[in-house]
Amino acid sequence: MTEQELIQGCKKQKQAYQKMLFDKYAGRMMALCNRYCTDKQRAQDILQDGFIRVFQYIDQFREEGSLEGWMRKIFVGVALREISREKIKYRELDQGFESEKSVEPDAVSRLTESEIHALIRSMPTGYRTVFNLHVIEGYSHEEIAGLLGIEASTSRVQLMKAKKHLQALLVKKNRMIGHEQHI
Amino acid sequence: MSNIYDIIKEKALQQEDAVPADAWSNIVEKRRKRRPAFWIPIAAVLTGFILWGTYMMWKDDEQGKPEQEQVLSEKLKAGQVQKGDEVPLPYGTIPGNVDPSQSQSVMEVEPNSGVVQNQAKLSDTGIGLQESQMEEDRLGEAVKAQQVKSGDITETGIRKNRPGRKSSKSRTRMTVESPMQDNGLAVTDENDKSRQKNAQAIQGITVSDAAVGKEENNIDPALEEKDQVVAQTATTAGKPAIKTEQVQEKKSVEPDKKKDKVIKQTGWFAEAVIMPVLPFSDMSGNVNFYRTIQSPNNKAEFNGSMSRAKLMPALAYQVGIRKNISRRLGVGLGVQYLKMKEDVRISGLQTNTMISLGSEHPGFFDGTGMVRDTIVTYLNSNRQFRFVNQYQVISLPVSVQYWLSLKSRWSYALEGGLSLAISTRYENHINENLVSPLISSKPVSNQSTSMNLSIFTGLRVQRAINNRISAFALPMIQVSPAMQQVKGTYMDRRIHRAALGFGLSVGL
Repeated sequence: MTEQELIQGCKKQKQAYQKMLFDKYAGRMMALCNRYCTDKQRAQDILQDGFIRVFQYIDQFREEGSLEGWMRKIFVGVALREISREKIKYRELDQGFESEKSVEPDAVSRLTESEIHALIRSMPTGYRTVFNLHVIEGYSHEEIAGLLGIEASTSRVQLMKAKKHLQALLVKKNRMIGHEQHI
Repeated sequence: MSNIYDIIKEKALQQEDAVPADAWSNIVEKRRKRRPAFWIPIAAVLTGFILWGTYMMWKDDEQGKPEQEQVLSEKLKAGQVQKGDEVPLPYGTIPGNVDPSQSQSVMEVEPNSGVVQNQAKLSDTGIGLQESQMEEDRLGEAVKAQQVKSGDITETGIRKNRPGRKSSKSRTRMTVESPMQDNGLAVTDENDKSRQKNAQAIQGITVSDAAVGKEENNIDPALEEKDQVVAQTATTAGKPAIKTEQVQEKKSVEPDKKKDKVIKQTGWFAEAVIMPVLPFSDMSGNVNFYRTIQSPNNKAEFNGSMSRAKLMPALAYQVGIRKNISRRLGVGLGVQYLKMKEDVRISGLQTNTMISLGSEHPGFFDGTGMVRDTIVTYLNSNRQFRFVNQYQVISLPVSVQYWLSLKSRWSYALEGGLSLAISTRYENHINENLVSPLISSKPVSNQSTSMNLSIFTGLRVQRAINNRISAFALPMIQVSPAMQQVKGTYMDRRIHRAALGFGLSVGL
């Protein structure tokens, strides 16, 4: 079945097509939810609410872009609404990380998707949210500012700190990998 | 360095996490709960209907009444004005050979002849008259400007007779007569003094002023409406509920879901119902109406008949109790109040006769006296009166239910019974106008009100809301086999109705 047929079936609110859509995208959307929300139960709630919204508003999908991209926007919106319930602290960069050392792209390439995913999830909520929105989803700082209700400059600062934080985590991770290889 | 973020992005987007096994079923369940209940739009429509019906039922019907008439009627009722009092002319000036200042300011209030009703409804015929009237206006102005003289034939065929001649009718039925001895309006002064006095009095009154020229003021195309309230005859279906069996048996019917839900289906129930009603009456015969309104220079005669008497949609309110007497049978008893409005239309022909003064002429025989031409104008038009009368009925419905299906959630029952109208009141506003009542050919005052028995049947669809309260709908029809006599009505009638009751049943 083509994606076009899948979309049309979902627009007709046929449950079989909705199930197929769910099966196709649930894994990726679950990963998205887990990236924004570390609590598993809440991530599942985001997943469910996201799919309900997708089925509810799929009539508005004009098929000008990819379905997955459109769905991601919906899921991001639901996730942001969910995490907005907790107070996000855009805190200062922790001093314990070694942010001065650079990370080679090869070192990152060697990491699996799960390891990358785990690194992102290990970031504080504020950093993680801005990092996810800017780096993964491709939102501009102005858009992020609008989504989170913060200043664009705050978003930039948070992103910068998030990157340093991630680099530190990557360095730490590489050291551990190197240590394991030496052993 | 930014390259690492592209790698991170790529890997992050490819990541797929394990989805909980119950995620899909949870989504389906959540969607089902979020779906708007089917009854919400129904309830919204029903609520709107009930609000509208209640508004229509209780709204002040006086607002459609002509203001002047209301004021005068109210003053008469309140005793603020009495026969012989001077009251402002209700609907503008009365054309005629009366001093204009007087005609505009005073007139006598007579129970049967005081106020000129200026509200003839112009039908097609009336419009034609109106047009000819415009021509007559022009004629009047021409006379005033001495462009036409007495006896000339005008474009409209209006002929102004010379003094002493018999009248001749024009095409528009406007006749110029002279002298008006028949009407007692002729000027027969013989001495110069009185002649001069009369001449002064007549001065300024022209054909156009006094006669047809002002006719437009007299014919108000607006429909005269009298408001009324309507009554009704009512009765409604009772609504006994049901008692069922043991909860055990119910559980066996629906073993899956409602195991922990014990719906009350036995014992006594109190019920309240609101019921939109579509009534229709069965009656035969004609009722004719007439009235005559007389003023010094005007006379309006109306002869018509009741062209329509239609009951309007109404609302009935009912409370009652019911009890199951066996597994399948239940009985109920209630009290119902129903208020129905009746749209009554009376249409007929109205003839307005107006007498107005023309110019003065020397006496025909001796040349000393002054005689006046008088113009008599007849206007015929179709006129329609509209009234809203009202029925109010209190009845006692006794009902029996036979439960076709009695479940913990949805239940169905055939329901039927008798409804005894113990009190029926009819408010008739047709001849309420004390100044110029519409006199009917049939009496309305010497009737008595009889009780009436009607039969109803319907299907009750009931849904349990919780273990004690159920909501139900009851579409039904009610037939009245016998004619009912109600005081104030012009003829006996049978009132049938279709209704859709919505109610709540509470276990006691």
